[in-house]
Amino acid sequence: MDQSKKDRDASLGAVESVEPTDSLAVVREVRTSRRGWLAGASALAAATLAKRALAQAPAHDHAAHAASATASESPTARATGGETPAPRARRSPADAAAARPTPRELIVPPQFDPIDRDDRYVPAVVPNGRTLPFRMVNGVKVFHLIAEPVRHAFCEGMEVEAWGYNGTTPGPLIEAVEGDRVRIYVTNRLPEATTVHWHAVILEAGMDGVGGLTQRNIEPGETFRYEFTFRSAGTYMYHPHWDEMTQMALGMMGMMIVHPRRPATPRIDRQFALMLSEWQVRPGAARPNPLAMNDFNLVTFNSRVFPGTEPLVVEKGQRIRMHFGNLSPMDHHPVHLHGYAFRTVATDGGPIPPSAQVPDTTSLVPTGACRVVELVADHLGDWAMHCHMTHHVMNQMGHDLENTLGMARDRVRQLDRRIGAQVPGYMTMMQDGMGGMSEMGMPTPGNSIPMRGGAGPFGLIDMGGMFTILKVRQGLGGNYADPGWFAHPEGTVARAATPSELSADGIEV
Amino acid sequence: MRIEPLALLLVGCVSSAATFDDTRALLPREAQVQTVARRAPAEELSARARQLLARPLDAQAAVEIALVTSPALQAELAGLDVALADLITMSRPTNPELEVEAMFAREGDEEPELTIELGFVLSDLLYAPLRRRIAGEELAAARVNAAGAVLDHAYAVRVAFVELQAAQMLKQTLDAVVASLRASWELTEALREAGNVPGLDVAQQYALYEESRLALAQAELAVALGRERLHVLLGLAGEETGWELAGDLPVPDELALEEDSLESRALDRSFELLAQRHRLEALARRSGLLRSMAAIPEVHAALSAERNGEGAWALGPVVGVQLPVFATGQGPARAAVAKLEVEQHRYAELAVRVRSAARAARHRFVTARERLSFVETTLLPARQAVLAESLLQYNAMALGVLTLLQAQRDLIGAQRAAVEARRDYWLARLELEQVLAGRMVEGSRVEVPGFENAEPAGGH
Repeated sequence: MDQSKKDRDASLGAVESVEPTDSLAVVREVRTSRRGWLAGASALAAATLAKRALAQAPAHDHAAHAASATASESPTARATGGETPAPRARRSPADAAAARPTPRELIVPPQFDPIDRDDRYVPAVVPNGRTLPFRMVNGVKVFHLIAEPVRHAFCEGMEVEAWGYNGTTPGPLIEAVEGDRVRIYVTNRLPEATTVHWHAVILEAGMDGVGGLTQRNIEPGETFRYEFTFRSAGTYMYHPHWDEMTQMALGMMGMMIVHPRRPATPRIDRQFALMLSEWQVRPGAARPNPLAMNDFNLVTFNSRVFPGTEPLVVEKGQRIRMHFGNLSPMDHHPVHLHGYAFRTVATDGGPIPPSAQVPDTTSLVPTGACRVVELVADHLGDWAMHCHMTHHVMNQMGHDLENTLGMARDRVRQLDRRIGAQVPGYMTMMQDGMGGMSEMGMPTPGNSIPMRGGAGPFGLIDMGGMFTILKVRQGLGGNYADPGWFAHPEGTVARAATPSELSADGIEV
Repeated sequence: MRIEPLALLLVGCVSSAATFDDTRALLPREAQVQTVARRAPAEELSARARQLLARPLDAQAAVEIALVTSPALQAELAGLDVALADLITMSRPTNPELEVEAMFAREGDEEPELTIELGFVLSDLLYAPLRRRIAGEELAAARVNAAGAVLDHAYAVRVAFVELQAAQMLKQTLDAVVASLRASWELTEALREAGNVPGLDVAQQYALYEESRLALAQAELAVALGRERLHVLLGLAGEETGWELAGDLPVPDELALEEDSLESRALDRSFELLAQRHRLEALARRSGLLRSMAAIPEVHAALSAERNGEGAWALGPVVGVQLPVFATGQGPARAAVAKLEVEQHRYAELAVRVRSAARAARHRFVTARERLSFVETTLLPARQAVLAESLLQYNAMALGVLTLLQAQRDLIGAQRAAVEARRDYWLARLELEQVLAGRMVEGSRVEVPGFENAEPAGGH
């Protein structure tokens, strides 16, 4: 056993033996557990800093508040003998978020190699995400989830202060095999209590993770131990069940795939785990709004929006499965795949008998549910896959504004002059439609991606949000890196009709 | 025989021209220069006024016109001549009395007997120097009041000018509001033409637009009335009222406040206190006079010439003394002493009010300065930031045009607050300068919500 392995073993023991009840214990726990589980040598100092930062923030606020309470807020206080508080530096939320240490800076992200391997299944691919490492201890598969604030990028140009697990949202994929005994430690580094509910897993009631009902909450700094057996293969999810409205709105969710003990036939070559969700972050803001109930403006695959979504790359002929889990606060998502018909072979309730499976091109994934679809990738090409709710493939678009579509052009010119005189830089928008608006180059708030689309081989792909691409190629040779755009065979791409073609077919335009 | 030279000397001392010059000497240097022109011929005055009115009128020119042409101020200064005449009269001793008596015999042919008597109040000659000093003090008080009236008028002109400039600027902000609401209305109209909104949306925006026009009409009325107030103060009428206002309220320059000496400066330069001092001096002298008159009976002296029937003349003096049996003169003397005491108390009270006026003017000025600074360096940038961020949100399609225009109108609201703050700054500064120049301000123009401006006026 090499030294690192000894450290890992030691850390597992330390985690089991420690139940921190105060801040010092939290630091000890961080020190002992992270020594083994995390690769970064600076974890202790960083975690201590994080703890201190959390502890100091409210104290500072109180001090500032107390100071201001003794001074007059009147702007003319000096004239009448009062005190005027020093002006506060104004910073945008994005600036403020960028200025303070981010969780990712404070806590070394767990980008470490899997400690143990499980060769009984082909690990699922998590686009834009990763899989939770584990360790086998006396036949029990041991995981460690850390609930914590994370700095998360939806795509380039848009970062927020989110909450997640082990440094990411969604949390890492947990994989196991039917019948596995698992022990999952959950450390709470959030500013409030949490629990973890193992969604759709059949287990002992006391392990179900419902705060107040089946357990007491995991208070900040505490580490809880969950242990149960995956009795059935299937696709499941995990998420908090204490203040879930806040915690899930900020990104706390993850997927679990339990592979069958006897591999399915025919063999599944490649599987993808995709967590569906939705968020509300106003343009220029830097924290998801947990109060949102309707007007969500970021709809995500694995907490990413197009053009930040990694493509799903497969070899032609492979049998693939896509595991969808939807933990959107309020919406269902009809996920539509171009170029294929598929069968929904399972839900989080279990497999669907073949006799009940129907061919489909769109899978409606309700919130709080999983759907597993299967297909054979026998059509080469770049195939869009997206939620078919049209507003779910838009980035940060507001909905409480005037519909200017169809406004007369002379009216638009007149308004541009009149309003432009009042508000320099004004320009009427949408009067001819909204396509390609991300290319207008108008200045927008920092840290925002309004109406953003992505570059495609034929120009702008005018979609965002819950949109990704299934790339089916031949001859990848096991290299699933993004192969680039599909090279279409000659004569198979739509193009402008020529006059002679129109004439030959009797089309008058 | 020495009566006439004395009287002439007194008249010479209080001639109208000398009084005007002495009055002018009491004024600050700037007002002195401008009041010189008052003595020029009327034609020259009109020409000068026309010259000043021909170009855009600034506050300085307005004050100059007011000081040379204002009927109100002319009336005030002419009143000084009236006081002067009264004082000349009071300063002279009682005229000598010539009495001729002829007695005709009823019988015989004797020539009539003639008695000619030239008499005068001898004690008046004794009191003449005292009376002259009293008159001098009262004339000095009148001069001080006249000089104060000049300052008051110049102040009134400057205040009216500042308020007119502010009204003009406030009207311009309402022009912008009307333009903004017109844009909102036209937007909804265009949207309705495109079939995107119902008529209700258009009607709502149209109503807002028309309401803003009503507010604009009120603002235009405020400008017109502001001009009229200046016309009265400047004495302008007819074609002279077509002048153009020069520019906006100026950006304030630095005014060094000598905090420690504000009250003493106001006291030293107070026209009210100076006039009251002259009045006290006059009262004191009057009291002394009356006491003397009570102590020394009135003495009449006369030179009497008498011719008898035979034509022989006899000449001889006549002396009479009033016997203070019933009217001893003690009553008027005591009354004068009491009145002097009353006025002494009033002087002390006036000094308290002058000190308070200096402090109050300082408070108003410093607060107005702070408020202006706050509005210009904090509130305006804050509203500008709201508009800039609103435009970004509009570009991001997170905010509509109507909301963007509302943000623009909110900025206009801050601009209106800035105009009002600058106006109040200048009003407060003028008030402070007026107090430090020696005149208390009756009814401050700097309004303080929740506080009734009831500053005491000058005690004269």
